Amino acid sequence: MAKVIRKVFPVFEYEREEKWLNEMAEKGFILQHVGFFSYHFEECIPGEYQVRMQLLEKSIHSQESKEYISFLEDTGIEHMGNMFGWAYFRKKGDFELYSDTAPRIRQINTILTSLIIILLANLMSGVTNVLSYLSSGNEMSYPKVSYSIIGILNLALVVILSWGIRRLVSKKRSLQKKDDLFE
Amino acid sequence: MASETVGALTEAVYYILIALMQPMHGYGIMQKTEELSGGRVRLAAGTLYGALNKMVERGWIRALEEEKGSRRKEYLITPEGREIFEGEIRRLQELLDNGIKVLEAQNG
Repeated sequence: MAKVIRKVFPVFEYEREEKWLNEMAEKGFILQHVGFFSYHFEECIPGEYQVRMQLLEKSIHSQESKEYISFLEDTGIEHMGNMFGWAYFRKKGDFELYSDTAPRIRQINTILTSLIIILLANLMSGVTNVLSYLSSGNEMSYPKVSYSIIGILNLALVVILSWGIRRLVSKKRSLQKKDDLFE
Repeated sequence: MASETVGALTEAVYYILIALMQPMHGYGIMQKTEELSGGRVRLAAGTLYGALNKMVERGWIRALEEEKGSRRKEYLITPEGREIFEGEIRRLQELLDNGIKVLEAQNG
């Protein structure tokens, strides 16, 4: 029996997403295909498969990514699809894509860079809209209302993004700490 | 000399160099490493891929011409890689000798 679940995970929650996919596999539903915010599952023996996700360093259509994915496939890993630059893999038995921490840290850095850019853009837009709201006179008007709505949305997003960025930074620190004594 | 300045190799790189004393593809390297280390060192495919590319860039290993009908790339150690490997053996030997010496002195 196939199963489709629509679900949205913020990018900084990629570990929770992977965990959820593995919990599904534990229950006997293994990822078969990913679509736009949708996960397609097929039945499997509970616990037979493991799922791993990775933010590809280059575009999915680039030669580098194709070579990388075909290398993984040669080791028995199945590529189940991509969503927003993330590739989804599965394999029978326990498996990891990385046995070292450097690529995990690199992946966090890539996500942090884009989140910080989005945060700054929203912060600027939010402040601009709030200032426009304050300086647009006392009468309620269409532009005045939209300044306030957009400004509030921008600033709410800034709060959510700051929270996500903090989580990623602490995750990165704990990975770096592990690196100090052992290779 | 290059081999004197590289510092410690990671376990992954060390076992990759050992495995590539003979031509081998990625999956073969993973199996060989696991076998040699008695299951202790398990190379993850993504880590192995990154290491192989870096080692090719540095000239420690090279990709062999692909055979017809085979899509798996095979790799082999180069003379430069062998030099790095020998340098690492000397470094490990020194660590080992000093460790054993101090233990023997303590145990009388």
